[in-house]
Amino acid sequence: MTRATPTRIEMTMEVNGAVRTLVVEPRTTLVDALREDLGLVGTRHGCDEGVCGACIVLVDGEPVLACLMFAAQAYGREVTTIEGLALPGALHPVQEAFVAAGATGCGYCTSGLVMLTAGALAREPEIAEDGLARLAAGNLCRCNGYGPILSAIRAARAAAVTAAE
Amino acid sequence: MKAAAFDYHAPASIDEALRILAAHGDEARILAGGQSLVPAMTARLARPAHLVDINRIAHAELPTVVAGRLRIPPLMRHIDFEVGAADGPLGALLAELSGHMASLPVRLRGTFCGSLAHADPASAFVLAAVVLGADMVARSTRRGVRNMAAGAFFTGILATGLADDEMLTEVQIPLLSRWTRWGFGAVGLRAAGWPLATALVVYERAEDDMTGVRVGVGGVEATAHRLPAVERMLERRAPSRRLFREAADAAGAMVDPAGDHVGTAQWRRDLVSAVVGRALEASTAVPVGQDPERP
Repeated sequence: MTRATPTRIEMTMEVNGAVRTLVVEPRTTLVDALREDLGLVGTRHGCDEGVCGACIVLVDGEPVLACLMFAAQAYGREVTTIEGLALPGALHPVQEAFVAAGATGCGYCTSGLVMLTAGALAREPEIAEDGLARLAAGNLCRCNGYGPILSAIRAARAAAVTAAE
Repeated sequence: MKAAAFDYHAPASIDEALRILAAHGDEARILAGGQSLVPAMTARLARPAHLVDINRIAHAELPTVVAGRLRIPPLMRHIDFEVGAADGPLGALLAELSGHMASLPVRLRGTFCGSLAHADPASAFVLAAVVLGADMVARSTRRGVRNMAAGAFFTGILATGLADDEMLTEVQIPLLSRWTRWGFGAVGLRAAGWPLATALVVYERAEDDMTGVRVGVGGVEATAHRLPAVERMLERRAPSRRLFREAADAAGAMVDPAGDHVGTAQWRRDLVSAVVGRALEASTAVPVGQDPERP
């Protein structure tokens, strides 16, 4: 923290590979900072209380509910959003798996599910079968597209296991 | 909705955190994992004027075992219990409970001590603290260090015996002997949501009979608590389906839940019987690698 005042904090974090400096209110959540200050609107507002998973981003590689972290807490951290998961013009293997499985209904929950899956497989490429449903259960898809979503996560796991070998 | 405005503090040590608490009293709240406090703040159910983010405090993640007790530090996350916080049944028990909790992002951030300080009656870790006889270590600049037993620590829904300037700096849980059997049961509307009812059963079984039986339920009343009358029904008896059924039925009759939009009080009593029954059943399944003596 370079400077702190009662109302505003100047902070720096790395977002999708670029160092960004923001001036935020302490109460600004990470999802608001990403969407409103940085224009990264691929991270969605869902419930804003940590139960839907639409706002998941990676912080230092781990999936985080961006509605339950204040932006100030990400000071000095490395944040990855759906916009920066793959190189420009390319798709991450998890994104490819979601496309191939048709695992997008209206698409609102998709970025959160993709970031969750990418973060979970980076921690543990060989998630057991019952663990996959448990993983997806933390994210709400109101199109109820969990069949294709599970197929996509399964395919992403296969790709992650192959990549790890 | 946005949280009410607050000043943000990121102390580098527990002592510094305690000084900030001492300066601001009931205006300040500790932010650990934030998975319960932040939604409460966003909904304006909590409006601290000062938020003390302890996540930058170093060396507060790793547990230790001293004199037969597991010591859980303030930044030990739910996920850290997956690998086993201690050898033997206590580590396995806490690992299973952590796996039941919420979703992966919540498990990665949420802390054990934070769960206890938040004191949600449905928290599996709150239930474990009550059933396993945990000691809460609270620190403040004014009183120094004091210990509170779990039974006295949890005083109501989201309420504890912590004073405004105190921080829960450690939780100590006695290790469990290798003869220990345990089982956990939970029912919820969503796999990743808060359970509606939980039960934890712990006992020793060196021979046929169960001894030192402890049975606790959570999620149905203001605090998780033990059921001494059910414990007496099981003490020095051998496990059987009939005994377990009787104990589970008795447990449901002993709680006094409030009905709400989810279900009636009677339905919640039935849930308690169901989760106690499941916990008892699970206790007879020998965990792999836990007991070489009894195949």
